[in-house]
Amino acid sequence: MGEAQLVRKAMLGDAPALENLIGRYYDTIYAFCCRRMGDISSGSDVCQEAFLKMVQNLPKYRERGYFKSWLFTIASNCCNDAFRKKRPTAGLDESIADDSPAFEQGTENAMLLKTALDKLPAEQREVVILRYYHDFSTNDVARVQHIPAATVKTRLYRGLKKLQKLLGEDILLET
Amino acid sequence: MKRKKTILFTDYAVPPVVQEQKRACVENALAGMGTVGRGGTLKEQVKTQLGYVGPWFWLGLAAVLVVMLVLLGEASIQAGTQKEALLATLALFSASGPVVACLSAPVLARSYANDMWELEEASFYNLPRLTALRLFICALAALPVMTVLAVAGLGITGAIQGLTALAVPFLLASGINYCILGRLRGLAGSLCSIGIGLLLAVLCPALFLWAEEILPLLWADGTQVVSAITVFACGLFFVLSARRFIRNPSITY
Repeated sequence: MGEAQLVRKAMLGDAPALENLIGRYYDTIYAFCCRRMGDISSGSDVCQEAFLKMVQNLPKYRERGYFKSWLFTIASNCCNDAFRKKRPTAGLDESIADDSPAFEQGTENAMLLKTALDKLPAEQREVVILRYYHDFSTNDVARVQHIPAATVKTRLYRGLKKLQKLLGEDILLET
Repeated sequence: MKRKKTILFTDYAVPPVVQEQKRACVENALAGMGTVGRGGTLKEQVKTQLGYVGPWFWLGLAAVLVVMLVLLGEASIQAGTQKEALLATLALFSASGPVVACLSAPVLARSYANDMWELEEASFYNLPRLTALRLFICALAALPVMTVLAVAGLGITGAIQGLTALAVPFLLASGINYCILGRLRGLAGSLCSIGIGLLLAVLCPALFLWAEEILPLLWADGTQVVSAITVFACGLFFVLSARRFIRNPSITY
């Protein structure tokens, strides 16, 4: 069954269609939330929250073939909300220095990259994650963040530059 | 020369999904789906939607009401000698009603203008119910206007004639509007609807007056029967097209 048909059925209250839809996107959204939040525990909670919000907002979804972008927008907003709740007085740009045990088990390279990514401003981090981990085009990222494509390119350029600076001159970052 | 260490983006992998968490997420979402559509009593549902109707909508409606009263007053003065003028005025305003509703539709549906963020409350209802609620608000707004028309007109023209002059253009114009809005989207739908509404507002009084002259010649005693059949047919058309309009889940302005 096609995605559009699944979405349409889920909008009309079809439980198997909704289950199928969540099954299709859970892993992707989970990975996005974990990387965006910087720790597995918060990422998992935010992922749950995002799918609940998706269900609540399905009646308002406008069928234009951008369901994935729409879902990522919800997830992104849930992450922003979670950051606000986590640190009410801190700005969104501040990184969360919270290394969960699950990530610490990764390779040295992974830890270096994670630490550097966590230090990026939230909007640049999100652009980098969407572009390099979820294969989003510039236009898709623009749709998720509700910003012009040119701004996405600027954020991506600045994000990568800062990332390289954070990793140091001895390390070469490759896509 | 010191060789640079290479890090790939893919090195930073997320641990695999815990299936129990995934299952819990699906269950939560399914439970959440059960709450969508439960919006309390009709009064509460209408109240949440009324908050999104701008003040200019009510001001515009009040202005239309005042214009109607003034023009109906003028027509009533001539009613003794020119009953047709009053009937034509009734038909004109009756057909204009849906046009006013169409003009107000974009503001009633403005929650769609900025994707999903504008109406938090609206997430409790599905789109067909949301559309039905907004049409219900339109109907509530049209009620005082139609009541004024009925009170001002029926006493002078006679029940059957007055009712036909009021109901037929209104039902016909509303039905056609719903037909168009159920099939066309966006500005094209709204403009087309408004255009046809205005055309009907001009045509209906003329047709009505023509029928008033021709019908007694063709079938002297059948005026009331024809009126009743016409009202019924227009009512049926209105109900069917309104039902389709409400059931269409992808209507946007």
